[in-house]
Amino acid sequence: MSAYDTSFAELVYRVLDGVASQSEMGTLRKQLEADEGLREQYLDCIEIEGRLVLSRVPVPSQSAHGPALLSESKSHSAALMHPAGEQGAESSASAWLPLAWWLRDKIHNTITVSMILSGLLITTILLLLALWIIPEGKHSTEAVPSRADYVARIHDVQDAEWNLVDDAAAPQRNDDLLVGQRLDLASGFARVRYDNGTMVLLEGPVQFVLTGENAGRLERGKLVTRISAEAPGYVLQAHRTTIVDLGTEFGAFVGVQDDVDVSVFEGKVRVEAPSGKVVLNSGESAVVTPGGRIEHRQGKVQFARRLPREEPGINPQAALETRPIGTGATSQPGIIATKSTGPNGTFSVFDDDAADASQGGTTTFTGTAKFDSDPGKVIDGGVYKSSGTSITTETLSPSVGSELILNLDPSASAGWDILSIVVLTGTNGTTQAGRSDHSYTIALSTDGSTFGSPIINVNDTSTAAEVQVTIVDNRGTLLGAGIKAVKFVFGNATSYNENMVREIDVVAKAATVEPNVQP
Amino acid sequence: MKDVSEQFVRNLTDSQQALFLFILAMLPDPVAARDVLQETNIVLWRKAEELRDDSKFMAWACQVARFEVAAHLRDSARDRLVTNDQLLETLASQAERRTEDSSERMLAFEACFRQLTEHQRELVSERYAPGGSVQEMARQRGQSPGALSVALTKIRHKLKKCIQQRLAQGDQT
Repeated sequence: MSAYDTSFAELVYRVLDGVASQSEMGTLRKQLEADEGLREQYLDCIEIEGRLVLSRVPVPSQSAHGPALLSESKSHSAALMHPAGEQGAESSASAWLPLAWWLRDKIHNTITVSMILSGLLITTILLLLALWIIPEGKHSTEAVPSRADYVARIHDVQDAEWNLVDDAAAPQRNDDLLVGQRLDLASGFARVRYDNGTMVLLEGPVQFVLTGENAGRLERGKLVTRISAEAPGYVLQAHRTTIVDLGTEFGAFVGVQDDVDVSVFEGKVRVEAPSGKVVLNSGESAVVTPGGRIEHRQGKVQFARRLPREEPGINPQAALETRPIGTGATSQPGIIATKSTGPNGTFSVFDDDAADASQGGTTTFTGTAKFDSDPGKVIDGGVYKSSGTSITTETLSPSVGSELILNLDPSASAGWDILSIVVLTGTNGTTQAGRSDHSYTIALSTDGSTFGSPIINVNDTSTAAEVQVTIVDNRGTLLGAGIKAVKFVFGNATSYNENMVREIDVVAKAATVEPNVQP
Repeated sequence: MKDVSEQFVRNLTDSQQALFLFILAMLPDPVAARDVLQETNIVLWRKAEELRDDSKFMAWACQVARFEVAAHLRDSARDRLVTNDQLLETLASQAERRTEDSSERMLAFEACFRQLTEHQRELVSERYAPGGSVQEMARQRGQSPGALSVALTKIRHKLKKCIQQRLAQGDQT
């Protein structure tokens, strides 16, 4: 007996539930035609489905228990589904059984066909009544899923046309998605964001199913998955291939012949096919043939790694989670600040670059962000107070209400996609411990001059020598897209009435207006 | 006027569940399968005297049912899963073999069904109620049909696993 193929069974039940697309129907048909093992599994599904149907309104039971079974007022199956109290269904289900009993009771060695046909006719009529006219019983049980049942949401859509079942509503931005929910995108793009931050970009036509809080199944078409750093181990099932994330961004494609293409853009993935496993590194790709063989090849499939048009603006508006630090709170749902404290040397992003000291100011600072050697980081160590005592020469101690505007490098004409902002305060662990408060708001601008509402209000008091705060969108997406300037407005830090900011890092990538297509 | 033996009536009555499942395999629509079962029953009654050996009843009934399914498929071109004779024959052959141990499977199913939670039974009851559909249930519950189908399928997986275990253990109590 072949192993139970859960995804195949799900396909069968989708057909039985009337929620399968024509294309799924075709897929099932092809599989039934080609594979005896799958036909057996299909029959398993049919049997369970049929018995569930029969358990609602039974036809006469089989002879396992002989006449005794039929002599009961209702069949085993009916008793299963309708315990005492559901009178409507019970009475209807049992109403026709005495006729079957009558057939058996009245017929001895022979019986005339007219009698039989009369009985059969009545039986048929009552069966039809039982099937179609039984009161529906209690149908109003509400079981609206709680938020805990959802594992992802539609992050955004662009030019999306959906294949919908009956009058189902088209998925919209911020729609919550359940485990098992299927997305059938005929054309256009949709991004799905798991609650753990992993992002899946669907490029229509594509059929994708969320199969878990960190898993999905690609049934047909293309997608690109970018794994959240906080949630490694994402598993994508694609036909008979399993793709396991090892920290990466990768594209996958399932063709009409059930061939599976995998391309790794960053990091690496493990591809598990019936014929074996292979680890693909950045820039590598492979195809798993319909027969399950893994072959290396390049350039067959092109993947869109981002939406064709990344909408400028400050992302996102929808609430998912807020996590205030200290006494403050985020003012933009989904955007969070996390902090870490410690002695000197614990911050990986810390850059004690004295060359940037000249950019500092004590009250209001407006400068142009510079690149440093770290890929993707456009501002690093760009804000310092050059005057100082015994702290260091690299702190900014702005007064209450002062603004700090960071004009991002204008060489990126479409602005910058900001992934995170990291702020480090304190005294470098040497003296005057306690000057490590964080008290400021951050606002973003897509034109370099007009700022939106603050995306976050950070207000944290600490007695630690130094405190690093990292601001990200908790859904793993950008803090802002197409951003040209970042503004800090400082508040009233309590310890020394100072925000001794030693460093601000804005981690971003140049925004693009064209699809980023990679073979 | 034809005479029909008690054994024939017994066979026909006892075969209803198995015949229904047999038809459903080729025609995965319970409503249509019920219709075809009724047509099959009538044909079996009409041709009762053609059956010489009562022990061959099930094979004969399956053959009649297969013809009735084929006739139904010819008349109904909408949303058919089985679209060619070869697949029909193949499924019919495999499905017919299952009728032999159908009673064991039924008892296993019933035992496993009792293990479902109340919530699961409610969900199933609503799904398989007359006129019940996933789409309507989903609408009432504010869920997508796909999500509801998945919830139902979890129950089916549970039943499947339980039935497998029971059959393997030979325990249908």
